[in-house]
Amino acid sequence: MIRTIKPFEYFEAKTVEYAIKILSMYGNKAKVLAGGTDLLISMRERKVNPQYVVYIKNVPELNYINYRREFGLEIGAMATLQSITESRVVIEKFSALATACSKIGTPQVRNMGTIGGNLCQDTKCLYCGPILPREETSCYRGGGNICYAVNGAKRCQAMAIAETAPILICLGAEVSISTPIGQKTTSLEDFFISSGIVDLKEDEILTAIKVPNPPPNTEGMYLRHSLKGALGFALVGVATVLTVINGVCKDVKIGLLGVNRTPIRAHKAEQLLKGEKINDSLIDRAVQVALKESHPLGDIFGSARYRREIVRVLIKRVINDTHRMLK
Amino acid sequence: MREQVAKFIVNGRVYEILIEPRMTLAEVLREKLCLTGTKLSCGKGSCGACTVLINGKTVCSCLTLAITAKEKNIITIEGLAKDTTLHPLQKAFIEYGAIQCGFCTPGMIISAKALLDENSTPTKREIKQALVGNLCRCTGYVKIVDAVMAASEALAKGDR
Repeated sequence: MIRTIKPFEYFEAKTVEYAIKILSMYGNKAKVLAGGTDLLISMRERKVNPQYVVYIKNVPELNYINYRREFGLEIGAMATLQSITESRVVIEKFSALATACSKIGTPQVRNMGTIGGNLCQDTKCLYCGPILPREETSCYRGGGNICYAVNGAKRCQAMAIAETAPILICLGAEVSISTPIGQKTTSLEDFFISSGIVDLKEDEILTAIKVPNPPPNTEGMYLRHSLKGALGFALVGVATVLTVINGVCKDVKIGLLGVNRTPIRAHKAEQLLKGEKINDSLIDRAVQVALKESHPLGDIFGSARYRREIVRVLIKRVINDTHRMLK
Repeated sequence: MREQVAKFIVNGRVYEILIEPRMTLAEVLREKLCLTGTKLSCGKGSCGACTVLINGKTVCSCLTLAITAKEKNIITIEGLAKDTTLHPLQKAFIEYGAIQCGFCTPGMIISAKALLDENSTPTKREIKQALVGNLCRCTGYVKIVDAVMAASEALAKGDR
């Protein structure tokens, strides 16, 4: 529906410090604006109505893609998805990340959207829409005990859909967060909390994503499945980072999106593969274990069974293909 | 909430207009500047009907706050023709029957222009990928892709 956005007071931040100052002053009445491809939809649909909006996309210290051999890759939170897709160093050294960014949305959305925004976006529920103020919903999301999206669901079915998350988690990424009392760093895996959103307080801003260098003999891959092909969010996303030496799996990380409320690592499946020679039956067993860890949820776009099927195929494919690349 | 004067550079012309922060770029273009070539459709960044160029990159103007686009180089569909001479993309769209109702056309052409500005000899696949954010309900896309291909050849020949 095309409606107008409710009036708000606008601040353009040129530094992180200024942005945090505004957020601290106005608390939950304020929101940061980056690419706008998520927030502005919710504001137009009147589901989120901040009285104060802080525009952070022009903060120079947040927009960069740096690589150093000693430290690895560091991406500012305001780097657009398209700039990461096109970045020479990302394509050469972290190609699966470039792939993940290239699959999100449309070219227009990739030009506008930022990696920080992608990671920090709220969980998506079909019934509640992109974002509904939790105070206004009486389902699990708002603290109630019913789910309106899926009949008989025992818990909230809203899911994280941040497509940059699985591969970044597999790569061991860390995030830098700016708070009123200083900077802090946490692993991306820990940054997602069980409800599917990230652990960011009202007066905190995600400033950077740090990705360490993968060890030698390592390849990564990201595959996703979307109902609408190139357009539309991923129903399921599977990432892997695999290290193989002399035919033996030295290390493996498997990241899954769309099979749980939050992006997860298939830890038990990884343990199964580590130290073994990779073959078809091993991969099949690992997939079974990963599915048991997943608890895929179902909604209108895809039943739990359908997601399970797709995940099965994609995990097999990413392990096989990365293994082949390393032979 | 507070209205403020902002400078916009649209199709090479400078405009100084009074806007509210809540206005999207699409609203400002259509209602304040009367450039109604840019269309409103889904309001969600899915259809691409509102596509314009900001500093050479395609964006959805319905998801861009106008105030964030001030003093940037904005190109809309109205900026393509030179007086009465149509841009090769516009000519090709007409010649190849790539326009039926015409509603998706401005956004399509802007996305195609961004592609050709960056890649003057695209393959069919590259054209399709560039246009993936522009939906058309009428044509089935075949003639649109043909038109963009023809326009790229015309531009290569020095047309324009």
